[in-house]
Amino acid sequence: MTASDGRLVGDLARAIDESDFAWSLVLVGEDQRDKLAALTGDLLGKPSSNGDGKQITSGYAYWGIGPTIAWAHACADPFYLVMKQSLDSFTRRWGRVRGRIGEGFHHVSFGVGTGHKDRLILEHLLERNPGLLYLPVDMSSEMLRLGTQEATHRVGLRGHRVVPVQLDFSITDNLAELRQLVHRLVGDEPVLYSLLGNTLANFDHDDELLANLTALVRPQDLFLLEVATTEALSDDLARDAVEEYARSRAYREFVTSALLHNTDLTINVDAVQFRGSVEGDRALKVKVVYQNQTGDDILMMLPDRTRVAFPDRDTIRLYLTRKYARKALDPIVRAAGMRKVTGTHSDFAVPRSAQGFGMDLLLLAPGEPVPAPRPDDDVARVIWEN
Amino acid sequence: MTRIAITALTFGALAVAMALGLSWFVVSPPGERWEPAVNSLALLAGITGIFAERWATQREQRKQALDSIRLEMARNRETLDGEAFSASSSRGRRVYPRLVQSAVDSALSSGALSPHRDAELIDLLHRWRTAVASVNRRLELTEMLVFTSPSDEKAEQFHAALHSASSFFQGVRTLLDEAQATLGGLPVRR
Repeated sequence: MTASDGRLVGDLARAIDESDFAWSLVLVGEDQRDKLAALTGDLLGKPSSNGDGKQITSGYAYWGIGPTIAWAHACADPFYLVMKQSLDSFTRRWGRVRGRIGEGFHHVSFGVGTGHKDRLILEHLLERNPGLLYLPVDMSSEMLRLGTQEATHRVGLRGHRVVPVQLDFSITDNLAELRQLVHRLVGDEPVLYSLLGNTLANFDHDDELLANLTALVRPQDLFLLEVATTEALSDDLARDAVEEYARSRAYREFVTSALLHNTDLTINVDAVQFRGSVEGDRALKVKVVYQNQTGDDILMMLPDRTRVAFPDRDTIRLYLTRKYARKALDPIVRAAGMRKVTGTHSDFAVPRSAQGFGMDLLLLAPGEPVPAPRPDDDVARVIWEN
Repeated sequence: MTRIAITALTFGALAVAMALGLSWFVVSPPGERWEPAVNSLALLAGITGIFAERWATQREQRKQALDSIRLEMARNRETLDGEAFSASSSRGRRVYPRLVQSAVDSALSSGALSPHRDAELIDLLHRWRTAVASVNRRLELTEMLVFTSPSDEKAEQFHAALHSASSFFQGVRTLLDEAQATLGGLPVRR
């Protein structure tokens, strides 16, 4: 880089910092036409009555300004319990965990969300590292804009220290590129990576995603993971989990907004169905599907003008989420090659939530997986079991 | 031995006096029977009065014991339903309130409850007393281990164990339900 290039970068940083206009400098990692082609491909699946054919995969649910606004509305809906409780209790949970994070950390946030949680994290990290670099990573540039503004609002982080990255982090090759970018920017200084708001649960291959994300973590780095949890697994609890999502109209509008945005379907939010099941011994799984209940076979047009048959009773999977069994968290963390530094849990303290549902916040570090505890080691159970 | 001798002497003297009074009444001429009649009835009242006084004292003691146990159980119910033992309570380190059993101890040791009439209740109270001692001991162990552990994880483990479906604590709640139902079904006076 020449001296003139260096001046240009410096001038750009000053222009962002000194302007009252809310500039944001976004690194775009992928060609958005490829993303559109992938979305179209996902909507060309075979007919299925249970959401296994056509689908909108995780990142696309937030892709575009329509879904982003719908998401912001859903987050403000008091009936969308998972989100409300997650936001309400995060301050407390973060307060218990943050003491284990040392000095000089930078922050890479996967799936920036509303930005409220990132703001709390940034406030803490910035006190210990005034030169902090914040890299929110999301597939949706609109989500990045929304979340980053909230995350950096009155935090005192200079504009040029915020580097939003528009990237689909569920693609392994993208993560390899991100790893290089991050390491180049921060050098050997430690990084706190975060995947909050139960985002992990939205992916079909969640275990694979966690392993890929945690592969970015070096010995000096830490990984903050937040997931929705349940004390037990049963069909009844799966029905309770379904209820939690189904009662929010704003949430229904959010999950259908990607369809509204990317197809010419006339959306009927009452055609959104929630299907709960038990996923092995690890989680309660909730699949949100949109079913053609018009009684007719219809044609829907995709953004590239492709016309796709959407037969009567056919479904499009709009969203996938889970509540992980608390007992399954340690094996999940171990399988990702990580160890738990500390963790906190908070229950959903509302009468209309099923007993045992809550949120867990785990601070993870790389290293030798800790061996699974032997039953004899579980002193608490030995003392309190009948 | 002395107590038995005194009891035998007292009731023997009363029985002999009663027999003499009746004989006096029988042998007395009809016009002079007022005095032996009054004497015999006074003796009879003296004998029955001793038993009546004993029964009244026992009944009063039993009533007081049951009232105290009811109050103690209600206090324990408040403790169990309180924030400290709620599944949604904070999972951090804490000192737990204890269950109390002094009224039960006092009732069992004073003999205020009848071994025949209250056999079922006495059995239940013995089980409750054992459960309370056990739960208080477990709480001590819990506090000791949680406060001496450097990580918050231990507190979470104990919170989960305390509130698990198979926890000893659930059995204590059930036993308290049973005790309160039994006490609620007992008449205040018999």
